[in-house]
Amino acid sequence: MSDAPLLEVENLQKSFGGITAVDGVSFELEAGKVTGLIGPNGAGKTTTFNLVSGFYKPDAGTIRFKGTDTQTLMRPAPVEQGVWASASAGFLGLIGAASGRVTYGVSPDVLAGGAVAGAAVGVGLYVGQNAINNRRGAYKHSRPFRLARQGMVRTFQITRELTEMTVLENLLLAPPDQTGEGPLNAIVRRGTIAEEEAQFRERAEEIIELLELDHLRDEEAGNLSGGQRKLLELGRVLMLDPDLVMLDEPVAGVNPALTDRIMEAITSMRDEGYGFCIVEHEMDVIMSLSDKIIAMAEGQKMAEGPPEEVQQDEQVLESYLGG
Amino acid sequence: MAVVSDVIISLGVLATFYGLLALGMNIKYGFTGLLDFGHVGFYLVGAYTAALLVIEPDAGGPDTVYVVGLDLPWIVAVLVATVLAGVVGVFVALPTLRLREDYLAITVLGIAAIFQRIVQAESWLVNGPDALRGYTPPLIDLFPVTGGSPVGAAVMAVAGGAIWAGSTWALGRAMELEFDAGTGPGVTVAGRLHAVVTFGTDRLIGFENYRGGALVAGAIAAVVGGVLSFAAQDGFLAWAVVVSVFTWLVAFVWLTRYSSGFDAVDYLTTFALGAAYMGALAPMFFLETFQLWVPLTGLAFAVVIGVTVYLYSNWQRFAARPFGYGLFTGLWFGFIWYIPLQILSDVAAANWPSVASSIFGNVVWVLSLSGDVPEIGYPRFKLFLFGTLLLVALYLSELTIDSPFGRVLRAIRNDERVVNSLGKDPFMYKIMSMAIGSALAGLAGALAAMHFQVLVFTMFAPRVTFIALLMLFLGGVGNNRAMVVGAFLFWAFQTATTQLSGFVAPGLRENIQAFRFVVMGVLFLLLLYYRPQGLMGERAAAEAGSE
Ligand SMILES: Nc1ncnc2c1ncn2[C@@H]1O[C@H](COP(=O)(O)OP(=O)(O)O)[C@@H](O)[C@H]1O
Ligand SMILES: [Mg+2]
Repeated sequence: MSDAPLLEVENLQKSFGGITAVDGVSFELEAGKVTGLIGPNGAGKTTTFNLVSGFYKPDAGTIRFKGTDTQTLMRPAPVEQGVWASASAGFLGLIGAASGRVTYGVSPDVLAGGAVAGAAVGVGLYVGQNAINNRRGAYKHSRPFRLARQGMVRTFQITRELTEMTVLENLLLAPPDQTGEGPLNAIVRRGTIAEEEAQFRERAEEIIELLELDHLRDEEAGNLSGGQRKLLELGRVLMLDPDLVMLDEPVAGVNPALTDRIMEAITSMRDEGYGFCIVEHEMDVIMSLSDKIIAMAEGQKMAEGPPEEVQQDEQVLESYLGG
Repeated sequence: MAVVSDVIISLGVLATFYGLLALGMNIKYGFTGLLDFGHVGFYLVGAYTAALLVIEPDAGGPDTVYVVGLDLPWIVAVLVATVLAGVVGVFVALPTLRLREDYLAITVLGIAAIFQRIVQAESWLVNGPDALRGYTPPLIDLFPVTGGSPVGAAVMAVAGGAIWAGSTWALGRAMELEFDAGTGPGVTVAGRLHAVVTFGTDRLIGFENYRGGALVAGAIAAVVGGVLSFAAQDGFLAWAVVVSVFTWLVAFVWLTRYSSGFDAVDYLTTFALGAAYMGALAPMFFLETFQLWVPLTGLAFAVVIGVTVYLYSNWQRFAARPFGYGLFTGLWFGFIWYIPLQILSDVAAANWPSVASSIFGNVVWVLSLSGDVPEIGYPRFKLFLFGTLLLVALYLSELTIDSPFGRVLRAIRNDERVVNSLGKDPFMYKIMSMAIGSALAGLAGALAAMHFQVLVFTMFAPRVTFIALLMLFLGGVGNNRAMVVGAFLFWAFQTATTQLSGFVAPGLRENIQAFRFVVMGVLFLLLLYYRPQGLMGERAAAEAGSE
């Protein structure tokens, strides 16, 4: 890997109607470090998360993950492009054949000719629009799953559990590239799938134990309390083994004892080389956990630096205490 | 009065391919949350594809016009129809899946309507707006079969053997469940029956391997049935009786499982309810005088009300076993129609031979006795064929849904943003779900083409989608096996109302036929209100509850 920072954000901007939620923010995150993102409500922290993780399209600015622009990372893979191109070809081929028939009547030559012409136009259209979109600066992808596969995973401030699935199922969903995720494999490769499932289950049991959710293993996630949901969401991320973990208020509603455990877990993972970016309002937690703090207010970065420094920053004090 | 086992057979045929249709809907809506109001479109694609593949080339006559006729075997046609419907499903999904749920529903409804319009208006394609006909279902020339012939022997060997294996398995399964309950098979009636129907091999193989034992028993039964049927018509008949009686016995064993905990009052209550419903609904045509007719029907209504009030005031009795109550009331209702009602007028006329032949014909359901000689007709073969396909499709669907793939689908139904944040592309999974669900609809369509032997655009109205949805909600959203139950219940209701309307004056009949949709609507509303998860509920939940 190059020695580029884990994540580089440059001049990020996003507005919703009249509100500029993120207004020219730049920062860097490093592997093996915990970065705290703080700021009053409405400062734009969650929006920043959504932009970085690809859920929102930025109005301006660039985001580089492990040295590569996330827009490049989110581009459709060649296989996907192939699917789209052939779908486009098939569809226009059908139209071509049909219009050939309408114009010249039914004959195999006309139908085949129309189909081939239509298919060619279909492929051309797809390739053309792709080329134009890729060249046009304004065009943005929003395909978060591509970033997650590259190792950037986030949680949601308002937790999103799969409420009708059990805690265990929530965790088992997460591992990438499961053999059984292909419908055909589910029928023909049951042995492999069973072995994999056993491994994932073992890992899931470890996480369940770490997060003290043992007694809730087979409970539907919809029946969990707010704090327990936060834990489950954290657990799901841990199943993925990502490089960069972005947590949006991970300990809101979690009891103090468990908060300590989560902090321990985060610290030890950081020491293993994972990078973290954490939004949190609990000042004790975030200050003791973080290697670096970024303070935001009204969509802009107000201060950045080691926790002790930022804690002394007048602006920050004012916006949190006086604002 | 009559032999009505044929009615049940045709009800079964309808339930099998509608079960497949509902199964496809369940993959889309039940597991993935894609509300596909255009499901019928893929059923249409499957049906017309299969028909065009098997039909002979258009001779150029003035009556029918269609684009191609490939004269291929049915097996190819069914496979191609299934795959093509799946591919069309992908094509429809690519643009529409980008839309939000409610818009998706409306758009696909529109696309299905376009399909329907095309087969209606494009007269060169499939003879629209008239019917496409002129093809024959597979192997129909062989039927009906009787004993004493190689074909009859082969049919009895295959079908009889399969039914035997299935029933033996069901018996073993019932006993295994008893094992779990701690009572053990011992020398219960079921245990003895199992020894007999496995021809004693269960002692050799060991009961634990009852699944394999069922196959062995089926194979033996196939040989015995084949030989007997080849030898003589009487052997054919005798073996059909044995097979039929065996299936009834297995049904009784299962019923005793469902009625465990029933006491005399429970049996009596369900019987009274079933019988009184039948009495109230089937006007007592056999009573010549109006003076008897009205009070007796009134009495039946009084019993219905009385039993309902009784159940209401003893609610815990009912609430302890609502499923058993519902099942038994329905069974009594059906049973009274199946046997006693069919012999009533003969009994009244003291026409005993006719009584005996009615009972015999209804019990020995494997054979059709409506002709001169007992035989296995095409409808029974069709039920066997469709039923086998349904079971295979069901098994494969269960495998697919129980896998990590099914887990992703259910996660998408819950919240696709989570799936997205975990590095899985929800769009691709939704496409696959649409492909599988549409392929199942295509399979159902191919079977429908085989069944009806004629296709008209009116058969593919949006109504069909909503019937599939009704079956889905009736059975249980997200429960594959419940789709078969839902389809069966729907067609049982349709059959029951058709049968009952047969008892009334022709003028009234039409009203009843129209009125039943109203009744169905009301029942559907009640179902959605009181049991939105369907009668059987989602399977995962059901299993967790039973553990
Ligand atoms: N999807 C959205 N549509 C419109 N406004 C939004 C949206 N998301 C965030 N905002 C606005 O952007 C501003 C920043 O919000 P947010 O990023 O959630 O703040 P924080 O997480 O720091 O509390 C708020 O004023 C909020 O109302
Ligand atoms: Mg926030």
